[in-house]
Amino acid sequence: MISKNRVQPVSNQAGPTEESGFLPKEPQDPLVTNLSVSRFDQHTENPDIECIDRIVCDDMQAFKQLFERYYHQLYFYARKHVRSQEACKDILQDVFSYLWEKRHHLEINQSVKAYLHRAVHYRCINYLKKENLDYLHLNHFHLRQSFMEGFQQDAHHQLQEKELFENIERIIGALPEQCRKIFRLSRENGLKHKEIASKLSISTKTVEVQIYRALKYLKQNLEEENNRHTIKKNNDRNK
Amino acid sequence: MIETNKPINQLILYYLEGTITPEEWTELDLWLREDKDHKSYFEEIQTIWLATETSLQLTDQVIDKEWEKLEKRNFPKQLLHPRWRRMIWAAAIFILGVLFSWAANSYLRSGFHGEIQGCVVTTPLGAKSNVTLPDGTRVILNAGSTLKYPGNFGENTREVTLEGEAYFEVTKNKSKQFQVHTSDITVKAYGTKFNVKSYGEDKTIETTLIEGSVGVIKNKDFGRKHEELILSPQEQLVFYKASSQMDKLKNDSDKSMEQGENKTGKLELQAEPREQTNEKIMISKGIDPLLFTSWTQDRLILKSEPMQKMAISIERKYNIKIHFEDADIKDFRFTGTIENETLENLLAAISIASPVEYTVKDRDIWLRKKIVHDKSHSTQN
Repeated sequence: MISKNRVQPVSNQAGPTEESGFLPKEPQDPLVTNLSVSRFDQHTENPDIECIDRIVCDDMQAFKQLFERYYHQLYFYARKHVRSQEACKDILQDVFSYLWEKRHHLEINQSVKAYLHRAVHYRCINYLKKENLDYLHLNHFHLRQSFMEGFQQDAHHQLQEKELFENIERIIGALPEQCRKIFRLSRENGLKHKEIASKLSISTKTVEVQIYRALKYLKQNLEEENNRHTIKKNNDRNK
Repeated sequence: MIETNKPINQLILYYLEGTITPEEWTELDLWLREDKDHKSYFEEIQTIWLATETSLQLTDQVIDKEWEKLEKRNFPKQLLHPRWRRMIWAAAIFILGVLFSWAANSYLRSGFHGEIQGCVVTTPLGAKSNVTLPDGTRVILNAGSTLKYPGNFGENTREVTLEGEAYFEVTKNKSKQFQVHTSDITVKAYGTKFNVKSYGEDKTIETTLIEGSVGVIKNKDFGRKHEELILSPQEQLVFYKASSQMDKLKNDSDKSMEQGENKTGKLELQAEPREQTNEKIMISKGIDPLLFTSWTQDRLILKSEPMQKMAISIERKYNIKIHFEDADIKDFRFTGTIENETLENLLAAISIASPVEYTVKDRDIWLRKKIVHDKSHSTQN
């Protein structure tokens, strides 16, 4: 059975492709909303399209595949705007539930990835409106405005998600021991700076310094990684 | 840039951690608005902060847990994938079908001995059939008889069910006993030649051994070895139905048998009628097997055969129905061989050899006593 809701790949958009980690050097036009970025590599089958086709045919296994493939990046996206981890998980539950519920009536006119991000985006906005949250929750005028204006493909990020997730473990491993230990307690175990300080019998100040050091180190390394990829990609292109 | 007590890095950390105060937030906010680079720097640090959290905290176990939550929420009713449900339906229907046919099968065969699906050979009246079983055993099936054997005949056991008369030449196989089940008795053999006559309408079941040895046991004693009766060649076991005891009796009518060396067509009338012995098993020794297997060669050899029994044999052989108008006739006895005779010749011979006259109408024959000295009452055809 071929779904009539087949995902239409839009190929000529200047957007990052997940596979390459390629970052466009050209600045994105902020007016271009609903940017449809294709994950579709012209030469390979798009696994998302196949997935959606199978989901339309009630294939739960395909649905699980899609869930596992996108959970990390969608969580990451939601978390940028919603502070509560539990709320982020709830939002993802809602998004995927809705997708399954409406699987026979899906209208995906963009890439599956863009569709999912957009869905998460609007759920986040609904959440923020409903909860009437304080400044800690995206009170920043610029952030909030652009966020509320509508969904934009996350092209403004200098770092690509897939790259991030793949390289983080390795770069953390290269940190000095004390720094790594503190950073892991913070990011992996979700401990507050004070908690880490009392656990390791060190000052909060030291914890903060070490965590910041780790963040900067990661930033620097990830940027280098990205540049290498970009150069390599550009070289490949020029050939 | 507004002077701050705390470095901007610390404010960013406080923000990320969620411990930033409104005053500190105002300060950070101002710094962010100051320069586009500030904003992108801040965003990058935030990205790494969240990305490390996502990568390190969302382990496979967490994802699995979230999936289970989603599953519970979306598939409470449809616990199974529709495709599986379809398959289970199909399997259920298949199993029902199998159960039904099994039930129907065992219902239809309830009169027999737990046979599962197999072959049924039936011979109509007035005919006979040659059957070779999968193990090579040769069976000649007499008129109006049915032989059944299971589909897995010869795999573990060799069992057949007989209704009617059949002559067996069993292929030798020491490890697999050959069993013939009839309505009341079972004949067990390994490699022998024997004849079993077990018509439903007959009062007796006759087992005649020609070669080798067979064991005979009543079905209700099946499995009790000591109840088994062993036959030697030229012995015949007659089981009288509705019998409850087994008696081994010697046939003492050898003297009448000596007279029975007769030529074709000659029938001898035995004067004294004999009473039927019920509820018994009788074993006759030294019988002439030919008498009981002659039917396989289209011959009917009779030795002191009562008219009643002979009539049944004739009925089957010629596919007719014999009616007795006088009960006395039933006990007249005959000796002789009938070989490929037409029915007319046979009837004529009977009427010559005995004081019997007959009327034929289609497939019905009426027999009555001949009144020798009063011709006005006789009706010759």
